[in-house]
Amino acid sequence: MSSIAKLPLEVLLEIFRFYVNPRAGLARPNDPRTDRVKRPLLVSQICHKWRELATGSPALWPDIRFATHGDDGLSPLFFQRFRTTPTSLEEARTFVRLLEEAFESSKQFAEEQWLPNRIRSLYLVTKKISEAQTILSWFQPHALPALEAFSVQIVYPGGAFDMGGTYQPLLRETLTTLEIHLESQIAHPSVEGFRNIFSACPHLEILVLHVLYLDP
Amino acid sequence: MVLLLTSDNEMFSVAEDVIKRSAYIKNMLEDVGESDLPIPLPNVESNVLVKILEYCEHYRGEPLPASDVDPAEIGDRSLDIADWDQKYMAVDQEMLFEIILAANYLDIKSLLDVGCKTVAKMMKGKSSEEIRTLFNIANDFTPEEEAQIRKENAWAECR
Repeated sequence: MSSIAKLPLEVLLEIFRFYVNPRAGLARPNDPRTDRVKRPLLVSQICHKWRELATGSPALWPDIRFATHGDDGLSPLFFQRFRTTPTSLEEARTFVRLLEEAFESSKQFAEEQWLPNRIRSLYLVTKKISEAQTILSWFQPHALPALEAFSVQIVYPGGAFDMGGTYQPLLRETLTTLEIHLESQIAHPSVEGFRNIFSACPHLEILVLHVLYLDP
Repeated sequence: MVLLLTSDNEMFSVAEDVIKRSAYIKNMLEDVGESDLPIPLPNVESNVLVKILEYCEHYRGEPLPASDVDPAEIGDRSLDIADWDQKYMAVDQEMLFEIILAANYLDIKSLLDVGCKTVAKMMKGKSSEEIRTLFNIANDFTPEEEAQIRKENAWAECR
């Protein structure tokens, strides 16, 4: 028997928590911290015992991350960790389906198991601002009450950009990190947009604005 | 002084303020009071207890950590390890896991954390196969499960 196999599960989980460090901050594409996305996956891919422990520990998976651009599939493990019905979840192929099913299934669980209560960060990649707006409009004001970090990456921004208004549905008191990445077009956020953000997020500590042009 | 009896029947006489870093012993001393009887440690061998006492001796006089902290609630879990702790943990794998087991049994939270961090650091930057080799873990996945894992990794690469 390997020496590590002697460890009780709670100690092994403690090692996983240090390894994954789920509170280390929001990972971004092309950022070394993106490793954080892969770490819970990796510990779930060592052996059956590690997989059961990792997938049964929601604290290791505090992020929702999905993309309407460049990705048409979602990891079944992503669903498995939320303990929803595997058969219906395996059919989910887009964020829209994921969101609808997650909220639908959440109704069957007690408050403390409710998926949105466990999510601390949300990472969204869309092609257009309108897509982000549509997705975000699905979040009710009381959704994701534990959300601390929100990152949105819009690949082809285009159109009007109202920073405060676009993200209003997820601007909330708990938010400490907000990242907005616009990949291919300079946008001009308004002073009013900033006011919206700062007044809705009094605990904001990190604001990343990528490819935004501020009017003098 | 406190008497400790290890699983291999070795007796250790230890200063109370040293061994009180173990919440298990501390609580036992508070519950039982003064006693000449040794405290049996059926899960700890003498060579491991020597290492544990080396740790407790080094941190003698340092404030004990709060006991009411829920480990799940601790925020950022940095893998930073103090220089002395790193040298202390530079042992073979067998001893490393014995120290972790003993720290868990004796409820020495700071030592348990250092042990867990050390293992987590060993895993950092390694592939699943390298981790299996490192810790001598058998891959017990079926071919179907392996295929599933490959799909998961393809998904993660898109992030």
